Amino acid sequence: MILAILTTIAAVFVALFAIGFLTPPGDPIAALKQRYRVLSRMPPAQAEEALQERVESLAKRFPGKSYRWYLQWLVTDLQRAKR
Amino acid sequence: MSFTLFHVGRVPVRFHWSILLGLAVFSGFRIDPVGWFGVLGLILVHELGHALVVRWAGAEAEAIEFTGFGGLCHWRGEVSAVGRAAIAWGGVWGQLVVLAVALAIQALPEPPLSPTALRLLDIATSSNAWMIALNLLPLRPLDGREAWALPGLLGRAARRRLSFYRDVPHQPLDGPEPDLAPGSPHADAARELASQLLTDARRSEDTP
Repeated sequence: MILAILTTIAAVFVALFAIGFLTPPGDPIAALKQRYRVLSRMPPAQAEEALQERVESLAKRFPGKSYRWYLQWLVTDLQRAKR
Repeated sequence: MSFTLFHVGRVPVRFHWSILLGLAVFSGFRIDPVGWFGVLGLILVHELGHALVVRWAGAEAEAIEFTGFGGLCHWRGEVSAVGRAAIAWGGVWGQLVVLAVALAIQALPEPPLSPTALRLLDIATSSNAWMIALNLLPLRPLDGREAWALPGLLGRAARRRLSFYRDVPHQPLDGPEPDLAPGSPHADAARELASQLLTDARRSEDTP
């Protein structure tokens, strides 16, 4: 019984590892940009322009962070504003 | 309502009154001091496993608490997604160490054990294995709810690492200097590789 339990755990672990290994990674940057567009309710071109401006402004305020960090900050800010 | 009985390192070990109920249920409402001792030991090892991984992940274990449902490891700090999942596994890893030791003792040709030790050995093997299995069910508030994120995260990390090494060209270091003049095939390849490395570096920086 102990062997069956341990084998099951190991098999599930290996299967989930394989799924994680074989699944192509999504693009978190693209997902955050899309989320920003949806939340900002602006036309795509205008949203993209506003996004670039706000990222540049944030980069001056918080220098040295990653591009994703800035995007995450803006999305979180918009989400908070919508509540 | 719980009280601190002792400390492990600087981590207080607290007992909630409901642990008495939990032990009574475990022993089928019989007086079973050896069984209670064994289960308390297993819970302690489980929670110490969590506490050790909490420390490894860069957070701080605040307290270990025995409750009617087993135990809790209270901790605080900011950890990555991998760290959080590893913390959830920590308890099971502790129990697996106990299981391995107990199975090794059981495998001895003539284990020199008293009836009490045999009972403890049974708890460290059979009861331990069932506790592990139950604990890894992907349901809140069990550890399995967060623990099963770990293999997927490790798989993704392995894929990222492998793709990085695969994309680095294997060129002999003592070969002729490549022509990197603008417009040459080597320059285009170098630019493409630099771009890829930059993307990989940014992705690894961005991934929690």
